Amino acid sequence: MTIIFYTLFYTFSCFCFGVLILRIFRLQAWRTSSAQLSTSFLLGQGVLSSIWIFLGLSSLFKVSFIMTILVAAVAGGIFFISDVQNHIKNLLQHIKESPIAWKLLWLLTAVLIVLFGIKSIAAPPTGDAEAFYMVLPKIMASAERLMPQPNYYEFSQIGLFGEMHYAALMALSSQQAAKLFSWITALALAAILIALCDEAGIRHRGKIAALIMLFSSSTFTNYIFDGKVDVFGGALGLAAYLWALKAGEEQRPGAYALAGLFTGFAAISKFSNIPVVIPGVLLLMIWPHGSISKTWDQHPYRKLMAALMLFGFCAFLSMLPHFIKNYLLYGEPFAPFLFLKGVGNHWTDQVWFSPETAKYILKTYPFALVFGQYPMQGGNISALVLAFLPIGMFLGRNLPLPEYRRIFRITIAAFTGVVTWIIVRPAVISPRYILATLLLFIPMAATGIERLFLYTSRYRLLKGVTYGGLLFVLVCSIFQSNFLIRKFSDSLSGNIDHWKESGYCGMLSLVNEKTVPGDRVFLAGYYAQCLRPDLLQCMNGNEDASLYDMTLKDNYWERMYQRGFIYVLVQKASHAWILPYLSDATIPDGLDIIRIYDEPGYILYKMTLRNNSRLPMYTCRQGNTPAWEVVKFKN
Amino acid sequence: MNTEKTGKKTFIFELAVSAWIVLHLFFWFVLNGYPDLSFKNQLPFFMHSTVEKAHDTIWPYVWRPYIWSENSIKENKDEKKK
Repeated sequence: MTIIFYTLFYTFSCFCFGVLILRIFRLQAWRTSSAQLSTSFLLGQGVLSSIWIFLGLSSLFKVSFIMTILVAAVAGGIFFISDVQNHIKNLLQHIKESPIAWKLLWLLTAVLIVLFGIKSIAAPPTGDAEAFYMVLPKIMASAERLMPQPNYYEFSQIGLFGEMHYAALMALSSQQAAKLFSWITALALAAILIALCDEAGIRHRGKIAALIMLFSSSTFTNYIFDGKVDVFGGALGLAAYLWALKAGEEQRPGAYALAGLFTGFAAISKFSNIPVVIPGVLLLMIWPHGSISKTWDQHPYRKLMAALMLFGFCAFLSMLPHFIKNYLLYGEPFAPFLFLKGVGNHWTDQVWFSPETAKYILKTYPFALVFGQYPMQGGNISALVLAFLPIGMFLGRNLPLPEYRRIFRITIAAFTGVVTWIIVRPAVISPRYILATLLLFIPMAATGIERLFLYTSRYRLLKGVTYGGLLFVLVCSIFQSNFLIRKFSDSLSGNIDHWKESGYCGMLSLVNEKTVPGDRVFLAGYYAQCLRPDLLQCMNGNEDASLYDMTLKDNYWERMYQRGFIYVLVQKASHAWILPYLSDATIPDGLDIIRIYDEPGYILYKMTLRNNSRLPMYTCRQGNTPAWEVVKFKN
Repeated sequence: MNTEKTGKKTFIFELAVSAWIVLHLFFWFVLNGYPDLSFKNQLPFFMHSTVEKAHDTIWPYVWRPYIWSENSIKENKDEKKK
């Protein structure tokens, strides 16, 4: 239960912090409760992640400092959250007013959302989360400082947003608390989507349809519980769109500032947001200025430029911690896009498919986004979005003009983002990379459903099919997850079972048992999440890159030993290619290479010296801080 | 007459959009809904075979190999030719 306590406390702190900042800078005038709740929470998240970066860079990422800041946030913001009860009452009122058939959909959606929350605690980190997204936070929580992950040195140049919250929650509680926070961020994303629906005049039927479309999008739901950070990027991107829409219409400096902050946070939390969210945000802010507001003075374009400069300044402010982090850790503030000191690794320039395959995928848009099963695609946007879009486009024309304008602009912003992505990365199909942009199509589809059910005697067939489709997808989604409940209580009480560990944890736990603190393990593989924190800090890093140079294989074990490695773990699924080099390499005199485990998935070697007269050149040592460092051996 | 025409147009619109929705639901079920369904073993056999046949038919249109896999397939083919 401490997992839930710490996560809720952390969530509350984010919310209070956001409320405090909004109050200090007088960024209020809400139209809807979902906008206020989600904006406060995400703004607090953004500022806290920046604070954690600075604490980490200063080697001050201690539990005492984290708790002090969180308690201060609660103390500062708690007096301004008196409206929370009213917000919850408004939501329940919505549901109360719905007909019984729609109450059923609300109930089933709530069940599905709770099941995802259970899965976020019960399921282990998988895939990339086991390789990086939960590993770097684990190192940071243990070492009390922010440093590049040794075996993902260059990749650690990415913007760190969700990872900072994971690190804080791991320091306070556990990895499950961090994963549960991802679920809470998913709820904030849902609240922002509801806020966008409010802007479009969508009421309860359309809103529940929007939520069903959201929670049946596997490109969103897959990342609620797997330990990655895509949900953060999606939530912040949607918040940027919401506030850009408000800024364009209301033309208040506060709205431009919030649009800028959220755009910057969105860019940092997920780099792929940069080419897709920014064009849509600018479109939403500038478009309404085609008709000059009567409240403006004689120089409307000068005011627009001033507003855009405010937007740009706030975006830069929210990205500044990231630039400082990359400058201090790598000497390159704009890595991995621009290197000032020489040639760098532009690892973001990825190509996933051949030109012929890329052309085929592009020809099948948007069906590829909805039905594609391509390698690394990682899920789909809900088929219901594409299914219901024609209703929205046809019946949405009957909306009152202000709502129609908003929904039209939102949809065009989404379309612009998708087209931009196709231009910059035609050979990368991954809906999670442009999650916020794709979710922006949902309000148009939801509008159609809202309008459809206003007709009492018309469209009976279509109404039946629409309701039936929503119910069908909900039931199938629930029955994909219903077996998790029995694992939930085990996870909460901290009992280790296979749900908390992935397939790689077995081999890594054996390494943990065999090693003593400070041992160096050479990991020929990707997945290290279950290693002890000291082993993670001591494992092979950038300085050991020459050990992948197989042209010197005769000297291989000697070079490995001199670098201070005692164990070599090879994950065969990805790194079996190294095994022939290891077995053919000459074993130096005085050194024994013992194969401790040889399993279908991995091999673990141990190097031992027959006498201690020949020490390695490097070792791993803990100084005055909890951090471990690879240092030269002092004779 | 106009009311009749409007009624017909509305019905055609309803039919077309309903078919569009049902088609999407079918493809979604075959590709995403059915594979992880916890009670799929309790479904009638004809459903299994229909869904699996549909899955095999649709699969080539929604999947292509990753570039590295494609390159190694091409290299294997070139080696065989030699």
